[in-house]
Amino acid sequence: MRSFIFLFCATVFAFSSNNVISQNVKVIIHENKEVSIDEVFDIIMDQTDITFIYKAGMFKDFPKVNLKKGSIRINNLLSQSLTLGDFNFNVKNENTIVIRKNSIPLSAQEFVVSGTIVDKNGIPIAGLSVYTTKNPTADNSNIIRGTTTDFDGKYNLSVSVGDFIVVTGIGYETRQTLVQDNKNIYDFILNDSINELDEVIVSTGYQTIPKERATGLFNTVPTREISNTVTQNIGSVLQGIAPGIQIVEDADGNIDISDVVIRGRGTIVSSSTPLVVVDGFPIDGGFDTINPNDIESVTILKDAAAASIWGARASNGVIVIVTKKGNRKGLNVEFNSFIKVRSKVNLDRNVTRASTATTLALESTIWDGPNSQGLNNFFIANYPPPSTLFDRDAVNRSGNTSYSLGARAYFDAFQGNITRAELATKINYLSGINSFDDVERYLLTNPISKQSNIAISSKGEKSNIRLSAVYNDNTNAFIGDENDQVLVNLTTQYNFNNWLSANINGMLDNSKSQNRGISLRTIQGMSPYENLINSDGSYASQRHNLYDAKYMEYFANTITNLPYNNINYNVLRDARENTFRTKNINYRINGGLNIKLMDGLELKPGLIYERFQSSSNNFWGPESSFVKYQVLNSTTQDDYDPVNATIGNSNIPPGAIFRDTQTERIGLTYRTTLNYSGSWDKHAVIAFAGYERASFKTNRSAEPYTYGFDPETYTYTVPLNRDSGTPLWAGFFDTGILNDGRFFDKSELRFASYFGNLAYTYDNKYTVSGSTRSDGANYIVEDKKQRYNPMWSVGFSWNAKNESFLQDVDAIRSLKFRVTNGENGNIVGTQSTTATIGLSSTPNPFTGVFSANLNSLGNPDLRWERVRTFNVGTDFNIFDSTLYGSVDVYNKKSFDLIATIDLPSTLGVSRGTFNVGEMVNKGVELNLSSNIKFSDNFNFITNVVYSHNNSEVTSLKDIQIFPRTIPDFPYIEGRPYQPIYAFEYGGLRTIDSQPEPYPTIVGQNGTIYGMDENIGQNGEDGREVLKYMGTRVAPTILGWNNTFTYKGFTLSTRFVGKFGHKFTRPTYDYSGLMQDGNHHEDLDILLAGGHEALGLPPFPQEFEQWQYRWSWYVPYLDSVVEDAAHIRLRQIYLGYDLPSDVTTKLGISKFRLFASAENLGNVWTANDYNIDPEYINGVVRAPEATFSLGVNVQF
Amino acid sequence: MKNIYLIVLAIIFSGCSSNDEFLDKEPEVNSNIEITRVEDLDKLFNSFGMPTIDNQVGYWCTDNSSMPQSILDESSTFRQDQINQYLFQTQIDRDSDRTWSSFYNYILRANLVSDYINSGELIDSDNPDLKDILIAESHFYRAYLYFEMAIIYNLYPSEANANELGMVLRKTSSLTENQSRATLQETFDFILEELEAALKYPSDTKRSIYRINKATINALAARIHLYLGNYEKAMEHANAALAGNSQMINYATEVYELGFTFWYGDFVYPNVAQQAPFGGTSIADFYVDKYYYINYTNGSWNTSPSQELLDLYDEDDIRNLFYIEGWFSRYGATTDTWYYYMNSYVGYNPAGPGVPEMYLTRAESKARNNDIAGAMADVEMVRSNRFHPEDYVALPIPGSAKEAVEIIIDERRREDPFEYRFMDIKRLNNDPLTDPIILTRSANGESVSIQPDDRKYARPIGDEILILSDGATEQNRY
Repeated sequence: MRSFIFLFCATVFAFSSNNVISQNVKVIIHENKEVSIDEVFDIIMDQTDITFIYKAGMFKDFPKVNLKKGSIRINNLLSQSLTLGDFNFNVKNENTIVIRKNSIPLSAQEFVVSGTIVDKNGIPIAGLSVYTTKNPTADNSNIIRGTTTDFDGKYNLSVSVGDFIVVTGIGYETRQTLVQDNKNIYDFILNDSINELDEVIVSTGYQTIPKERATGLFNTVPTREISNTVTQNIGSVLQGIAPGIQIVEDADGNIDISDVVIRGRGTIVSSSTPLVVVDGFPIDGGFDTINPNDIESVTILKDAAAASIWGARASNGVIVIVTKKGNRKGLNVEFNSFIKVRSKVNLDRNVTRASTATTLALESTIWDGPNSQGLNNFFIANYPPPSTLFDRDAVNRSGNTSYSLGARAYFDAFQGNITRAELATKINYLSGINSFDDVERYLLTNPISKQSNIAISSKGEKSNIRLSAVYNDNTNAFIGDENDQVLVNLTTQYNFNNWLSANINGMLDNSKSQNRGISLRTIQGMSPYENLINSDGSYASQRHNLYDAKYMEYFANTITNLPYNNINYNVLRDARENTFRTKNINYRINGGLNIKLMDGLELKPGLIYERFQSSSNNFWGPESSFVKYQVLNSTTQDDYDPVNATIGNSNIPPGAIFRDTQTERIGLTYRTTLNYSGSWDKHAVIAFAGYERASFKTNRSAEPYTYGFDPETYTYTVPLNRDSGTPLWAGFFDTGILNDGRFFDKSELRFASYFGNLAYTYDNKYTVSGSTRSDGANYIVEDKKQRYNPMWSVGFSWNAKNESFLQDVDAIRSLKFRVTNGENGNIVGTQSTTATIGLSSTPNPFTGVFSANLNSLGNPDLRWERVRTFNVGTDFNIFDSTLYGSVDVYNKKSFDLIATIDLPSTLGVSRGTFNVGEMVNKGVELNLSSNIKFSDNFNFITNVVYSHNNSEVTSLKDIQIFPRTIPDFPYIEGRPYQPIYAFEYGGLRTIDSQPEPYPTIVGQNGTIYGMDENIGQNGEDGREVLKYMGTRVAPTILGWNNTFTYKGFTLSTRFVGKFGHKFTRPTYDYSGLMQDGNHHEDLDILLAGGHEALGLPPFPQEFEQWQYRWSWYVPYLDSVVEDAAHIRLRQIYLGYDLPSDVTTKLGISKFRLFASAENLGNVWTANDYNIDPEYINGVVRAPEATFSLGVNVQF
Repeated sequence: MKNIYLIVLAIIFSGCSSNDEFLDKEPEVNSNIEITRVEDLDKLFNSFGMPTIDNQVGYWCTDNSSMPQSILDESSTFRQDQINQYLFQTQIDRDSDRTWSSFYNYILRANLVSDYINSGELIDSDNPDLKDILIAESHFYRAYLYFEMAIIYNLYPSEANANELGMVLRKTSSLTENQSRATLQETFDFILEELEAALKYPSDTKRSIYRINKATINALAARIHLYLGNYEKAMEHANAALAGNSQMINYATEVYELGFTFWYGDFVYPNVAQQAPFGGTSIADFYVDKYYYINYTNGSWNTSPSQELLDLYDEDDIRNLFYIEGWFSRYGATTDTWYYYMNSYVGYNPAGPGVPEMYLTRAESKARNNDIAGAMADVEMVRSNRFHPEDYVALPIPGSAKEAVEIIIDERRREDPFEYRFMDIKRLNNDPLTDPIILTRSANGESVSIQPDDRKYARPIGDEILILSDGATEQNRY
């Protein structure tokens, strides 16, 4: 007998259009059971004042109905029970319903129609109710003739012209259409119902509970946002979609999970990484091993009641991901593919360096006149060109004598080594060069990303299976920077019998990446007039930041036994020579049993095993500067013979150098839970208890450097270690002792936990919940009695809609209030509790003895960090989904935070680690949506996600902060996380120490300081001197998401705005290092006298002794602190689904074409410089606008 | 179905098995380990290497240094804290007191060694003497380091000063130990107790070049007793030290001009300027006359001698080579490019007790005991190694003990100008035999004159130490 299953949650369905029975009357099903239709009526008549009149035995041949415990609206119950038949309903008076078998035989006007019903992804939906109904306005009697769809989503139904065909089902919006003459096929595509706020199942990762009976806050990411985003990384969907989450995406679209912060950072030295839970188990590897195409749902848990069950690892929030399972009979195939392209790195936008003309103009002044910088400035060591090896000191003063091409030309002219005419020729040549030309030609590529994904799934009588494989292939912005990934996921479930089922899931990730050491920094470090390739095709000589090119040239030309012809420095050659590769092979297996012990009681043992292996290979080619300089420097000064111009033999042989490092992470978690769910009368209970053991091992090792490697013959040379003598060029690739490079490191963190959770609901209105958990670890706490960290939560929710006074208020579809409070721990890094030493692996070559360094004194009183979260919230849906969502207010207090604080050095150490910190994050989060239906074909959903978080470090042992260091302090008592302190610029003033008006700083203590001072030398604290200007972290984040659907078209847009924070605008730093050819682009304005507009001191035209001190202050002036508010257009997505009649003909169930544009920049920024505060010019590479095109096919 | 209940029970009970055992697993295996063996502590002492301690007071608060005003005017080489010390100011502009923190860091490690050995929980070594060695060695470090600190931060330990503030006596590695300062009497009582305990060191051989032996402790004892005016004891220990090592370095053969311009510009360097302290034995290779290797540094390359010190040298004295002429041109000085004292690596000075110091200590003890000829013989032991043979002329024998002591003190200044001159000034100012030493100096328009009994001879402790101790540690009273 085929019976269809009722879930306790069902669709909103008016039994008939004139509301014979109020929509909202519910009955309670106390336990899962299979009942006859007669019993259904009994249940309704028992619990309501509705009376049914029908002929006894009328339903005796009807299939039984499976009822699940919980509550169900009676119109749902009736429609699901009766739509298989053919009935005439008649409402006699208010509450009496007469049901007759429809006596009218199938008339000639009636004909059979059929159709297929699929969801928006084209997957057929089984078990839907399809019925016909007459125009309901005629009278208050009605005919219902119905059926259900089969496993292929197909149905047949007898109808007459003028009837309505109505389709309704769990989790879908109801659709209806008028029966027309001559049309026999009526297909439907059902949209997911978003009107079911109070009937959604939410998952804590451990268990699923009806949202109606949850006390905690569950932010569920709408599935449409996942399917309407073109990405390789699920993390990129969350920004602006889930309130209170901060995600940083780099220019290549990578997201580092440790940068993801939920509800503000609440720890000082420990991790703030949220826990990522996939199919019930926390996983390693962040978002990288999750295939976005596999995701069924994403839920963010933030408050105590929702998250506390995850214990010590939950205080940073939990991201619960549930993957798709095989839930359709037969073979189902889904294929996805997209390609993303973006333009080359925009150098003008990303690189902030002064132009060739400006740089040369500055350099022309360095040695010009007796007051010039070059003759007076200690930072421009004024040494004549080298004439012996020992003059290397004259060319290496921490790079002070490493001149740019322009500065070198002017210096040579000043020294008389070249004539004025030669100088003019050189400068003329340089002034025609823009390094961007060569950079663009040789170092940049057009980034392109490709993804292909295939998923196969099937469902049988007892089992289901789903297998997916995705291939990502990315070419990034710089030459040779590539990565690819194959990610395979398998989920299976098998039901052995009615009390035992098992599931096994597996993940295999094979990915590799490589780069050639080029980054934005490489380009930022080049002078504007440097070529990469000379006109004759050879590699151009570029400035090296330590050794002057002229010295290198001199050295190469003078020494007769040099192993290289050319030792100049060139980033392109290095890029072509060097390769840095990383390979990852990761896999994960998790499995579990579900043993039904008795009705409502299940035992669920399970485990997850993960093994992540990563190996890196760093390869420096034989012609790279890294190799050349090491080889040359592995000879000693003692062996230098100035008379014969020879150097000694190199200890390091020429040839490539490479080194491998390996990391292996192995995680094993074993868990058993006992779950109970039951209800009786007006009481319902969900409870579970369990224990868990987990161990996480990490092994890291590095192989020794291999020197003199020949990739052709695979031969290498083991260099002799030099045990005495000074290297040829001290301080430069110093090979005083050859670095063997080996290291070994192993750690194993273990946790044991007990936990329990109970939620009790009375009358579907009031729920109280409580949870407790205790985590122990093999580190952190020295005292075994204190080893376990108790955590708890309590919660209460009131489902106001179920109160009698609201039941009939149709304007309010659902309304619930929640309050939770609880305490979690935070996982802390391994902090030693006893003194630890580091043993040397080899005896000291000079003393011949082994030594042990005192690494840490340890603190035996260290304990777990704690986080207490109080949350009040409401979930609502009013005016028929015109407005629905949730509002939450929270107070998250972190205390016992581990912080390293200053100690009196009398103790022998000046820093110590203690549980001394406290932070508070308070905030409000709104998640509001509106679903506006313009017509059957045209739907608009708009969603606003607003979060505001105020953080404050409430306690951190106060220390003296030296003024110049305060801008680097992320935690200062009484301030939010990442405060910005700035020196208030006082403009030019007459001060005692200077004859002329001089740039000044106005101290907040009232003192006027000249920029010639070392502020703080008189013991001032930074907080007395600098001005607090706000925080770097946006307190307010606003996401605005719109989805329009019109017929087969879907258009979605996403804006993310951030407000209330500040950033520091990089500018020219006045450091006095004028000879390095590398200046900020603001120099263009400064040389033109535009300093006032920039809020900066005037550019010193002549030598100014204290100018280097200006550079201590200028980057931190209040005038360069800018409002960071901005609104970003993150993406526009356009999808088109072929109509189902077309797809049916093609033999497929869904065909979608989509296009997307991402990283479209800011539509508004508060600062006047057009700087994107999240990708500050010259600091962080900004993603270029990206365009994607793709297809999704299912059959 | 029956079996399933057994399985279920097994699953449930497996959760109750000992989690404590499960959690007892060590979290990390790497080179970062807990101390479990006596040998670990031996290695901990090996890690001391050649300690380097910032000591501005030793460099600037004596008549051996100067800060020519023209260099102050033309360069910024003298840091504000150095100027403050030079002028004996009681408020030093510095972000932290690196002298105090370095000394206490070594004391902590010595305390850790004795705490661990006293805990009795360590795995013993095969060497039965090792524990005694380590215990005695930790006493040595405490005696040495507290003594050197007391010179800097405390007044001279005369009877009148007995109740003045001494050091914070950290005797354990506990972070909760009291941080208030002991009296000067208690401080020196403790130093002498530690010294006595250290003298039980059972061996004449060092465990490595940077470690200690009996002679090292005797050399320290000679220095301490000399400071305290216990001349007989000073002589006794100097003799014991010399019995262990009396090797003098003959500068006539060992010290010479480098044949090329060295690292730091166009200057004439002595070969000793190559002795870098970073991990090498070069300092120990050269200075074989040291009982113990420790560096004082002024943190900058600006050890600037006084004219008075330069005048003390005979023009043939080979030690003149240690003064690099014209050095301050590096920093932009043009009016007076002056001299720079360089004895090993720039800014560093090997400051541990050495053979010459022992000879001079013994000489002084002899002189004070009116053995003037014996005293001068010891002085010539040093001098004869500081001249080329053709230049060497022995000094005339002085007529009085006082004169002899003055000659010996001058030789001490010449031999070790920046190592223990501050100590000598403090003790001589409490010595009835010799004339009081009054320091006068000026810099940047401020002139000071420091009288022998000036309380500023106890140099100020860094403010941050006082603040962070929550008032437990007091500042010197001026």
